[in-house]
Amino acid sequence: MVNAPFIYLNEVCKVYDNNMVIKQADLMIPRSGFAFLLGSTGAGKSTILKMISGEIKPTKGRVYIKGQDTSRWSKSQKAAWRRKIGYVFQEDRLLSYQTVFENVALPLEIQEMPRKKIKEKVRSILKVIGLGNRINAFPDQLSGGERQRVSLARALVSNPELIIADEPTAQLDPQTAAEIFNLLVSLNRTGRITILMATHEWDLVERTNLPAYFIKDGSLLYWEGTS
Amino acid sequence: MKASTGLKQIGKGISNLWRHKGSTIAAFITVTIALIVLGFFALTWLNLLNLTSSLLNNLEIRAFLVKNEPVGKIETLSGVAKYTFITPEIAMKDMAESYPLYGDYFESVITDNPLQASYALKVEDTQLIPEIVKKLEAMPEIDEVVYGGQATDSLVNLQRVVGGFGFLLFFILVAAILLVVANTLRLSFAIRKPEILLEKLLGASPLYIVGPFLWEGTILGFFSSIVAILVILSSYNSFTSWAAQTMPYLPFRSLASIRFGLITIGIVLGILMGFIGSVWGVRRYWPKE
Repeated sequence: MVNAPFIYLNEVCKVYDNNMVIKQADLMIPRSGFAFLLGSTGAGKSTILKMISGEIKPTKGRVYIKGQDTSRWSKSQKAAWRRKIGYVFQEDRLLSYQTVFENVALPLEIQEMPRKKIKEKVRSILKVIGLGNRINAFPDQLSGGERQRVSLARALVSNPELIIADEPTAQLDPQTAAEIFNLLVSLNRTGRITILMATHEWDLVERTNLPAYFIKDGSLLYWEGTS
Repeated sequence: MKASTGLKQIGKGISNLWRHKGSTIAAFITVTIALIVLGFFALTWLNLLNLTSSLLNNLEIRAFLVKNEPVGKIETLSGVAKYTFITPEIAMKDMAESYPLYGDYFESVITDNPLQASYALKVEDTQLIPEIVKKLEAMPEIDEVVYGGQATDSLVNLQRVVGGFGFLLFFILVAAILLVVANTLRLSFAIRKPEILLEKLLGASPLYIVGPFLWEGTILGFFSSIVAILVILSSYNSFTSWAAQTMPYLPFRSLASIRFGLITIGIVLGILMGFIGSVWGVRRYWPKE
């Protein structure tokens, strides 16, 4: 399916313990697209992201990735899809007992890439991200912005097809938040990586004029943006 | 799984053990102590069995005959390992030897030998003594059967109880220790929950996630068993040397007779406990849907 959307949620509904978090969601993101997922805390942003990454199944409806119905995927197909996703979280989720190098190398280790190639790729991505000199540091020796950049390097190192960013700038100061956000936008524009970014900052959406999906009372509303 | 992946997992297991030294040492001490307790229990059990067997092996059944002639069916009785036919003359000679001061008296005064011919029987398995005695007592050629009686029966029962319950207790102890090992490993794995969840999210295969943990448990079990074996062997060596001086009449198993079995079973048990304990410990993190 060449013309199928990269990500397509069709009338998706999610219920947790009799609590309907998502009533009905339709979402469509083309390959190399950028979209915000906007909603207040607890609105269901993470639920939608988890359904896209295959961590959870929708109660009703279908999730299609590159035209394929994910409900028909085996566990190994789901794992293979997750290996093509780069994740950036609100909290950096770095492993405190591993160095910057080891943290960034994790997705490549999981892909069983040869050691030599892992070294090359990790050094190169850390240089790009401006942390080439902190390769042997441990997370607790880094500032909040540096930690988030390491997290971004970990998301990018495996050349992902999709980046899922779950409020990546929420805990950063405005300047660092802008840096991280600009980095994501440039990755989308120059690297042609599809990006889905969850946020609760309407200002950011308005300022950038990029397409956005709003979660309101469990339903998704689309705002096309102007860019 | 590629061989290189297997090697990487062993490497990761070892580096995890080193990286989380605190929990590794705690788990190592727990597993080692558990194996030492198990080892001492096994040695006590073996020696108790050895003691009862040795006492029973020295017992014999004496079957006194009605007529002073050999009885073929006694010699071929099943369960009899060795028999000796004792004529009245031999019995008299033995008696005279037992009482050297009265030896001449027996020979000169007692002209008509009143002693009966008998069979001295040793059995293949001491557990069979009561059964063989019953068979002998039922034979018309036999006048009387003499054996340890109640003392033998008690000893046989004790051996049965020690053998059966000891075996059962050993397995209960193994299960209990396995639970302790599994819980210790589970606790040491629990601090790495974020790592496991992240690996799951990044699409790691189940084997990639749990492989290093299984290696950690196995390696830990192996080294714990080595230390436990060294402690048990050296303590048992000191104990048998001391017992040989102070209780020479008690038949303890020699160090040489248990060394090979203890080392083999100890290492196998250590590795198995570490492996099963780690499977138990990581099962909650085993990737599901």
